[in-house]
Amino acid sequence: MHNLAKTMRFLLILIGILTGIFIGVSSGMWLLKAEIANTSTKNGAWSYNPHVGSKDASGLTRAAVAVIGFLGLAKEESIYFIANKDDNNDLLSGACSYKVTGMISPDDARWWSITVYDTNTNKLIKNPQNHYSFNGDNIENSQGGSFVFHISANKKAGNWLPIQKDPQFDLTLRMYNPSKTSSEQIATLDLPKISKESCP
Amino acid sequence: MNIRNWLLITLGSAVISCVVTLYFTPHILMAGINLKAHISNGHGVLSIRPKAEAGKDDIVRMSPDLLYSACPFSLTEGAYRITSPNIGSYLSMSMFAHNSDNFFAINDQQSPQGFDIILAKKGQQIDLPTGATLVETDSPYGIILMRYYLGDKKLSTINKFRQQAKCEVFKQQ
Repeated sequence: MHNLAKTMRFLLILIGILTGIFIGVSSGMWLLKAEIANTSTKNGAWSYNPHVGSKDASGLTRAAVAVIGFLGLAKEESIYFIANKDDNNDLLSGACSYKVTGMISPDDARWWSITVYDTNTNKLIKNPQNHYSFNGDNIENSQGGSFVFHISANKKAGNWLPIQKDPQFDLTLRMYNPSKTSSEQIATLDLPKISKESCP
Repeated sequence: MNIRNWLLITLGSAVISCVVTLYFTPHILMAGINLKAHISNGHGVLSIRPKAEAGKDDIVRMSPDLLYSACPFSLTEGAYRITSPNIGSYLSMSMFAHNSDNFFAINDQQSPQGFDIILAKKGQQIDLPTGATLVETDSPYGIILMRYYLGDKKLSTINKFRQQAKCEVFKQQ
């Protein structure tokens, strides 16, 4: 009887600690996401965090950056933009299809890529084609740095990035070895447009 | 146990977990890499990671346009020497401290003859080999990351160069 009471007490304490850890980590992650939003610069649908790869960030900002850009590089080497909304400020959704149009020339950056990630996991989205991104070298019909591609769960003609119908997704634009102008005028750079094509 | 004590335990662990998440996420992630390397004897081993694929990407937001090679380091073992030939397209080497600070980065355009870097503890006496560059850090451990741009090249072409790269404890003459 005494042992049963001790076991029950231990289980209650364990449940209390685990519940506390769950609440603490969840609220911590929520606050880190808020910190990312607070310390980011907006440019159209895209946001840029100057603290990725920076040694000057506070402990809180460094932790926030680790969630979205762990082992990211400083802006002299690469600029990272993230978009989780389209140009109409609607959240990107796997249920809809989108068109991305842009123009990034070698004068803007040595190379670029746009990748689709699951917003909740920050990981690549499974698809039968194992196709997750376009870059300046593998995109077709690119002329003088201009490009067009589609993002949707159903196959599209031309440049197409497959996603799943369910998840909320976002895009990461990487510009490696950006020009001085690109890295100094981040808020006014002419970045790709993300327009919704259709939605059920 | 009464409900008041249970709530205090829950609240206490929630506050501690929240503070740890807010301030120590990068340290925890880097300590995890260091511990994994320590267990698997992986310090000073340049691991050639496969191309990023859904379900196999263990780090957030890996780029499928890059190929990564990683070398966890622990400077308690001594200085490290990292060498790599260039690949004819974008290649960079970056070093991250125990708190995830990116304290050094270099790319192929800045070092057209390839990389020959010695990483050492600040103040450590190093007999620097001819042509090598010395990088000093206060960080006891961390990770060295090589990024190779795949572009429209074949994986096998880049892999030939990746296999020639080295990251090892530096033995002074």
